[in-house]
Amino acid sequence: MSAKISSKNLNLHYGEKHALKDVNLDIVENKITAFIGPSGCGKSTFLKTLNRMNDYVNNVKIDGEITLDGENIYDPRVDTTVLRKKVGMVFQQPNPFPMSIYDNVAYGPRIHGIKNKKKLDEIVERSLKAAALYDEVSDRLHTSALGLSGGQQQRLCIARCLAVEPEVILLDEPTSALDPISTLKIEELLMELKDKYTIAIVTHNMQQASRIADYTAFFLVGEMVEYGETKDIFSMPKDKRTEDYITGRFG
Amino acid sequence: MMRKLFDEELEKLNVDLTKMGHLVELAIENMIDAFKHQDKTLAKEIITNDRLINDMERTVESRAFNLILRQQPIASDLRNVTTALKIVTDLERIGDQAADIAEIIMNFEGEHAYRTVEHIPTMAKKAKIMVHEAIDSFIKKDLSTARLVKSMDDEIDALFEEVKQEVIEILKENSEKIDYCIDFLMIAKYLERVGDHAVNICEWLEFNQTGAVNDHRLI
Repeated sequence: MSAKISSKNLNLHYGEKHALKDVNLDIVENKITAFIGPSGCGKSTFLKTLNRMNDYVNNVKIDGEITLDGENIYDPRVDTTVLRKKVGMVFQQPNPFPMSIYDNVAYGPRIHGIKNKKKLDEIVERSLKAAALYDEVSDRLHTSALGLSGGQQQRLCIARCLAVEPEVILLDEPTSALDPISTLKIEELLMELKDKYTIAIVTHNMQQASRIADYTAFFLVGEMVEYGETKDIFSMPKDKRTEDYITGRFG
Repeated sequence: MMRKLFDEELEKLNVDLTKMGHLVELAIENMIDAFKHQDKTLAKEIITNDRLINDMERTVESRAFNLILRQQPIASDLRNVTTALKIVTDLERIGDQAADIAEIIMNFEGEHAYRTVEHIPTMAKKAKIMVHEAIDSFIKKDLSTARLVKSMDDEIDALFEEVKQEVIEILKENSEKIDYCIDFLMIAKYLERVGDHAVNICEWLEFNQTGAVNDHRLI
């Protein structure tokens, strides 16, 4: 069990608001880690600290350390473009670019300097296959991505994320806008992807966390209350606040 | 209050299980009385009442299945629902054993087992205590009483061996008593099984509180 990402005494303030309080947590390599908790608990904020997406928020102050393979990602020398290539992100609403399916997936590799058509073709095909979308779109790669269904669009976003060969994939409620079948497809996809990638997912769907996550962390008002193996969190949580939240007594 | 419906359903499940526990306890008490006094009317009543216990088993099962279906319980909720599903089987079996013994009492002609075989009354008392304490520990979620019941299992097993020896001695003296002796032995075996089911209930309480049975982690 090696930690791919470690959070050490992480504190985050939005102006006066103390949004993350001393979060200490290891995200294990090649496992799925779920962050759960009521709205406003800090789970999405925490997810965003893992590839410095909070850098864009005004008035944000971050103390403590996040390490990726032992290197502090908040070191001033870190190039965030390189960081975000390693730590990709998929959002709640599928957000394909208004261009073709092919160009969506080739977008990242092109930015990182790949021009060779044959090489790009390979990357697009491999990424779409890895995202379990290729068979559904192989005959219309050059049509608009906006014509895909919601579930397909979300898998396209995962393919786009995979195209730049990340090491970690962050997902912020990736299935909350999807129907149950599309949700199941994404869940199965994540289970396959974890062999190659380290995955962290924010979800409001308790069953989703218990179905796919190896580890689960419960957040409450900026505090990471409990973290452990998913089967322990959902069967014998140690903290009463965790028990009360997952059984729907508040939240 | 959130999850009002869920809590109400869980409460109904618990009430039914408790009610069933009391019925089973009553069956055991009546069985011992009927046995002691060769009371065939009471024995018949036990057999009739066993249907109530069987019906309650179905009610509890149905409640538990529907809770799983509609609420997808987790954590302590899951342990409570699954514990109910497991315990209900043991309660129903204890009811069955009481009815089985009542059946033998109904057909008794002649020798009085309760007086003839010295260790049978002791076994009956022990079984009654075990059932009472097991159900009580479950209702109160009291692990220390549950452990006490588990420790009594060896005693009731040993008593069964004593009864067996006694029966053998009776047969050695008079082999014509074989009919009664088989009945005596069966009663003793039923009582010993009652003890086993009481122990099971205690083990499921242990699971309910710790997620493990005899240090074997189940959930």
